[in-house]
Amino acid sequence: MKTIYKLYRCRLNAVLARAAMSSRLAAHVLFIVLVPLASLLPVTTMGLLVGLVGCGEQATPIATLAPDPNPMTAVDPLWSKQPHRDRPRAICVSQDGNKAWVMLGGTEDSPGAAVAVVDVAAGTVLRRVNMAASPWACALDPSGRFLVVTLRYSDHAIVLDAKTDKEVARVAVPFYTERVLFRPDGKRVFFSNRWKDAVLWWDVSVGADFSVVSRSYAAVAVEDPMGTPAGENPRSMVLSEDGALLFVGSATSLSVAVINTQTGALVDVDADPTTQTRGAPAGITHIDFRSPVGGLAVSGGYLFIADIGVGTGSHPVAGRDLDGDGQPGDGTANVVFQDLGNEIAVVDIKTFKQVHRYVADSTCCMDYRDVDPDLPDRGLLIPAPDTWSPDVVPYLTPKPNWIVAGALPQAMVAHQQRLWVAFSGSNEVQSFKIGADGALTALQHAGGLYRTGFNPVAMAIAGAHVITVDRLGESLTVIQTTDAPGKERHVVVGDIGGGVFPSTDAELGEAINDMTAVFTIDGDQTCVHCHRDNGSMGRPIVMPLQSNRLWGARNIMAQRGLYDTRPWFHESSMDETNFFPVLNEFARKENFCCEGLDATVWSAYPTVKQCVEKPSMTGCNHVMNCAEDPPPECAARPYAKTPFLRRSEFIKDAAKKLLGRDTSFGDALHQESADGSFKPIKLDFEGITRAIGLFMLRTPRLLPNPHRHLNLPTARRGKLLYERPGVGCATCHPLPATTTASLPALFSPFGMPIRFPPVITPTSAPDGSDASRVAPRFIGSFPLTVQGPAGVHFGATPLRGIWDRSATHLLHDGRAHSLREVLATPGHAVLRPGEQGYNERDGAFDTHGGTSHLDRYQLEDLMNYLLTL
Amino acid sequence: MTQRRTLQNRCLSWVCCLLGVVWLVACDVDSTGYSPLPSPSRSAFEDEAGPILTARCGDYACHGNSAQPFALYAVARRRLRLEDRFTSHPLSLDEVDANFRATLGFLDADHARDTPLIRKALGLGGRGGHKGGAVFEAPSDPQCRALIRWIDGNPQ
Repeated sequence: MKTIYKLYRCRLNAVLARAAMSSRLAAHVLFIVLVPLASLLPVTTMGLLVGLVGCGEQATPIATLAPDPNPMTAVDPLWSKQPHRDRPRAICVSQDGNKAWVMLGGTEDSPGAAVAVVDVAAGTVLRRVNMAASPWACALDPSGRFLVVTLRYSDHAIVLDAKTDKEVARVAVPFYTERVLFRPDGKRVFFSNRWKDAVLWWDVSVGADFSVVSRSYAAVAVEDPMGTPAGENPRSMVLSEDGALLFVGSATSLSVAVINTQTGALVDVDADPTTQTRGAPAGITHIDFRSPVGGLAVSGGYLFIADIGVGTGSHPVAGRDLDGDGQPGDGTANVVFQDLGNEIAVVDIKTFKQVHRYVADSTCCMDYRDVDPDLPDRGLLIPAPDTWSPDVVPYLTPKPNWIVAGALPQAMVAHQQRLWVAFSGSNEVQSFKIGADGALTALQHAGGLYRTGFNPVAMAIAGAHVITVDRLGESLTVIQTTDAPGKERHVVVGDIGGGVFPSTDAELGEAINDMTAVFTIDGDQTCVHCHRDNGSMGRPIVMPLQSNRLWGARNIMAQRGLYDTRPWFHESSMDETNFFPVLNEFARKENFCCEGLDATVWSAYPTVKQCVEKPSMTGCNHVMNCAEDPPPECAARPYAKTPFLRRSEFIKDAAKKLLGRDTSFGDALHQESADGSFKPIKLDFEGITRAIGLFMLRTPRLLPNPHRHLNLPTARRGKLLYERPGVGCATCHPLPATTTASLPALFSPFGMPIRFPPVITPTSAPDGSDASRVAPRFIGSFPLTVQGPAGVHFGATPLRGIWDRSATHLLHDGRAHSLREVLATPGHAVLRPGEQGYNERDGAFDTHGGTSHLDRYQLEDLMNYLLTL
Repeated sequence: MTQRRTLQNRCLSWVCCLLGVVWLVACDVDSTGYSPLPSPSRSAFEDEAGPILTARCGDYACHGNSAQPFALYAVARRRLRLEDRFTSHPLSLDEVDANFRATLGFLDADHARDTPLIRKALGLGGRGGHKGGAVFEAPSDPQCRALIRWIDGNPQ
């Protein structure tokens, strides 16, 4: 009987929904006829308006995006079998704090399909609830009855009964819902969507049943733009305490959008319709620190934003305006990788203005190059290009604000005037006391933070506990809020059947890539600071071995689709065996006294050559036997306070600390002994390089493409244009790898990856010189690099995954602010007001493919195809 | 007692429903009894929608023919002045106005995708069907999207 009733209700709702879609008049007629009929049944009026939820759509199959095939197969000598992992991503906790639901999201290449239900007190997994790929976010309604689970690679959200963990509804949402959040009144649910770059919502009715009254995107075709635009790849969300404002953070757009939760409209935070954040709708300004947003939290009248600072590696007041604030430079004192920070901004919710900013406790002076407010002249003693002058000191954040002690703040929660921050790059949690004015006081300091499992990426409050979700550790860490660090509990929720993480050489590489902090002299940087979630943030940065550090800057490469697109980089000269300029930056040899490179120490001593020739020279005992007899200046240095005198010792010690070992497992990274046997390699500088390289190659990590799933006619026409010789895209970006700059080389008589001179869109310094050129040391590090009188030769950038990249920073230096600007010749009809076509060099058009003869709609076809790659 | 309560509930349901219907009708239909038509921009029509319609629909054999209920003026095709017929002179303001007015007559729906103009262009039929079949393969085609944007009042 119940089933018949349910079927009847579904049909009725479906009829109403169809009628509403087809014509208002017809809908009115049906309404007049059917509503009285329906009133004879025990169905609430609200239930009638629910439409398809809970019935018709339960029968609808869920569409799921398929991962890209992995080009690395068992024939590759570096291949080895990898254990299955669940990769927990998010957590929701019952109101009494006893039960938790953990989203087992899996990876891009092997999505998860289950939610683990955990007994928090017992620290056990009660059961797993199976669902489609891949459970990514969740929200418990304020009454505690229903749990909304979103699936990143599926086109529906699932609603579970929080008591029984049974599915009670499935509701269509676009692919790539990143986060979900209930308004405190329980009547509206917000979703941040990475594909649509928008926030969507449901209006819901929650009582004995859960029903969706309306969806903000119900009348919009899935391929169309929908929702409230909230920056590129919006993710973190938090509400003001009164529920009136929704804050949406973006790691790609580097901003926080503010949305009125009643109207769903964006709030212009500067109330000036003439200003606009790049990529935002006209007249809308976001809270824009130009820094990738990690976690968000609200306490009282203050919004807390975790980010990595505005530094782009550039000089504070000279050179290209990389942060887009209208001023030269980036306004921060340090340069290159020392500019990567771990910061917390405090914003007054009434004014949307930053009232406090807290930065890394290691701002100075762990690295020998750090700008030192206490010794403002010290930078003049450091050899170029790392020299700094006293005039940059005022651009340091005031010293009392150097309190952030972990690496890569990724998640935050505020609870009872206390802010809890999880650091995914150093596996730590730090808590802060929140003052009445929003000011923070650190309650733990470096070396004394709470320890979590590997890679905490999410947090929740569970009664008197804080819980972190440890993605790589496959675990939860439970912290009693009243306990001091040292009493953390760990609960395994994921799959460690193939061994605890890391258990293969590729996993060693992943661990180092994502939790690099321990390998850095500052203890506060990671590879994924810039390659966020293995993608990239939407801002170009200054790289260490460029010839011009003021005007040359590069977009960041995503760590995706790398196996069949080697060699990498703009220059197509870097592969999995060499990340020297990057890893070197994390722990420069100058910091290790016995490497003999710190000029402030060794300029007073003879050289090795001199000591070999005349061992009796004063100081040769230190030069020739530094490890046992270091010069006294080593200990007296006001920076680089590491006990290790050589970098290799530091790295091996870091490997032991993080991974519990200083050699590889040997399943892929091994070396042959004289007797023909294989033994693992050491995890020294070379060893960690090879481990990271292996991780890069082992799986594609390309995000399953929702545009390809749509298979739109416009994209099919675009493909024909892409392959047309007169347009020429496929000449340099042939399918499937979309690059000719690959090894083994295509069509290359010399077996070299194909590269082209000169750069189509060269970065020029104000004096007209080519700022795209690389320094001789870059060529020394990457011998495949070709640089001639016309400049550096460049490879065709792979285009796969372009749908997910920052559309506001394209081309090698991030100058193009849309795909239209990349493809169009100057003045092309497809360009919108204020846009500039970059398909030209020195006035010659069509230097980046033949597009000038295409009409605006053909160019749109072509762009729609590119989004499917 | 229970029967009486049920009867009361039913009566209440009827009253609520009728009130709802009255409310919906009052809100959505103007005093003439008809829904207001979309009123897209004239200038955006001239810039984007008009050229698409004349290029894709304005052939002599189709809507570049005054015998058609939806007749368009187009360069080198149907013209207001006979002497312009085979010239490349751009459309006059009067011709653009006439095309604009002709197009407005095919926008009788709340959502752009449901208008006769778009439904016919997609070969989905509508009142009288579309003898010419589908002009666009899908609503996501850039030109169709541009028409939808124009009708919805969101030109770029």
